[in-house]
Amino acid sequence: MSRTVLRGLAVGLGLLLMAIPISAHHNITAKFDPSRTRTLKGVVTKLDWANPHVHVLMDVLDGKIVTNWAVELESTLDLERSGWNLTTVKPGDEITVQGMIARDGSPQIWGDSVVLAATRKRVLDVSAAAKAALLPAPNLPSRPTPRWPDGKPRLGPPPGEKGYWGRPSSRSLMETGANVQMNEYGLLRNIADVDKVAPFQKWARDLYEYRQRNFLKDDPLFLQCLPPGPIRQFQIPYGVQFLEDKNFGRIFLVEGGGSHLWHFIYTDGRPQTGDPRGNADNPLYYGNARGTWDGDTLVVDSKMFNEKFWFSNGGLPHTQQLHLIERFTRTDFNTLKYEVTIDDPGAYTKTWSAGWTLQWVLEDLPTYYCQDNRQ
Amino acid sequence: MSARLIRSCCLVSCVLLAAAALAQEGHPAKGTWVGYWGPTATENRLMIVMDYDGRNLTGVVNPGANAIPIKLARLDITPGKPPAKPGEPVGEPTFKMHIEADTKDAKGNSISIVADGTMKQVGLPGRSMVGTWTQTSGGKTVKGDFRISRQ
Repeated sequence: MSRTVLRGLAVGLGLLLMAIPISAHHNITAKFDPSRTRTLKGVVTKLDWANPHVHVLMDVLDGKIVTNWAVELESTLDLERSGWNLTTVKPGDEITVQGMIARDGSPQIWGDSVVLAATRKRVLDVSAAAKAALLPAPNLPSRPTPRWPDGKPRLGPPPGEKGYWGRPSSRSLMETGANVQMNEYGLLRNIADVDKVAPFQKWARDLYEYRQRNFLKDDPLFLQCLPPGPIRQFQIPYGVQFLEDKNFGRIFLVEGGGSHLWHFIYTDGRPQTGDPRGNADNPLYYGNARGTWDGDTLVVDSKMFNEKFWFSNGGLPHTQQLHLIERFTRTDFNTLKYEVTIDDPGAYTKTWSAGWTLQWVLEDLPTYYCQDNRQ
Repeated sequence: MSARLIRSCCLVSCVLLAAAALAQEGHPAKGTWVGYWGPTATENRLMIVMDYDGRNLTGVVNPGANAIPIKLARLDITPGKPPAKPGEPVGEPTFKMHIEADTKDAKGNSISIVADGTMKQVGLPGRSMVGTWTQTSGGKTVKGDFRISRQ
C-alpha cells in the first residue's frame, strides 16, 4: 500500500474518530472514593482546560518526595458557572485542593475545592455554586401552563421565550414506592437494597449487583459517551428540549448534555414499524417512538431498542424486548411530570413504573458535550 | 508522518470503532462467540451463537450445515464481595457458563457436548470465556479446553 493511500486512510479514520466520543469522561464515584478525602498543597504545573473534565496538574511535596498529582475537576461549563475561567489558575500558582482521592491509589484527586494560596481566595467551590444550578430551584413564580392555539399544552418555550427541561427531582430509577437511597449516579447507599429497586429476573438482578459493586465503572454513557437512551435522558443534569413541529406531526427531543443527540417522537399516527437494524426513523437507542395526546398528557409508546446502552443511572439492565409507555404532563409553566411504565419480559418479572418531575430552566440548552477534549 | 505511525493510527482507530460497534449491555451471554476447543489450542474452530428470549438461553454450536443445537445453557453470576474496608478492591465476581448440546452425525452416531466456562472482562463488548470442553462422538469421549471471545 502506498504511503499516500495510507496517509489518506489515516486522515479519514482520524476524521471519523473525531465524530466518535472517546473515553475520557466517567462517573466520578467509580474512580474516586467518597469515603477517603485529602487536602493537598502544591504548585500548579499545567492546566488542561478541556471537556469533559478539566485537569490541573500540581507538584506536591511530601517529606522529601515531590509527587505530581492530577486534580480532576468538573466540565468547563460547570467551572464557568462557578466563575472560573482559563486564567483563574496558572502554572506556578500555589494552590490548596480538597477532595476525594482515587480508589486505585494513584496520585489523582477529585477537586471539590481549590484555594489560591497567594490571595486565600477560594476559586472553586463546585459543591455550592454549580451544583445548585443542577438541582430544582425553590419558589419559582407561578405561571399557568402555556398552550397552543388548539388548546394543547406547549412542551417547549412560548413564542419569544427560551428555556428547557432540567433539574430532575430524582436522578435514580426505582419502582414506584421503593424506599431505596441512591446517589446522583444511581449508586446504592446500601448494596443490600438491590432487590428493592425493581422486579428483576435473576440474571438481571445479579448483573445489576455486579455493576453496583464495581461502582458503575463500565457505564457506556461515561466510557464511550454512548446515548443515555429513553429514560436516562430525563435523569442527566443538562436537560432536554421539546421542539414541537406541528406541521409535520413530530416532536424533536433534544439533549443538552451527552453528544447533543436528538430524536423524533412522531405524533402523525404513523404505524410503529421500522427497520429493526435501525434507520433514520428508528435510531434504536431511543426506540421507535409514537406520541398521542390523552387530555393534557403526551403519551409516548416506544419499542425496538438496542442493548448497547444503560437505560438508567445505576446500571439497570434491559433487553431488546423493552417496551416503554412514557407520560408527559406540564402541570404548570415550570413543572413537567414524567411517568414511565417499563415492560421488559427479558429482564424483569413484571411490568413496573416510576416517575419524577423536571423543572423549567429559563436558559438556552447547555452546551456541555460528552466528548474528548476540544472536539 | 511515518508509515509506522500511520499503521498504528489505523490499528487504534479500528479497535476503537470495533469497541463501539460491539457494545452489548443486555444478557452477558447473548451474541456470537468465536474461538477454539481441543486438547491443543488451535485444533477445532468453534463458533457459538446464543440468544436470550426472556426465559432461556438458546442457540447453536457451529451454525450452518451440521449445526449442533444447544439443549441447555445457563449463566450463573456471583457478584463480587464488597471491599472489606474502604479503599480495598471489590471481590472478583464470577460469571460461570454451562452449555449442553446434542446432535447426531451423518451415520446416526450421537454427538454430545458439555462445556463449563468462566466469562472474563464482562464489562467489555469483546468479553471472553475459557473453560473445559467434553465432546462425546460415536462412543469416544474427548476432553479439552475451550477459549472463545464475543464478536
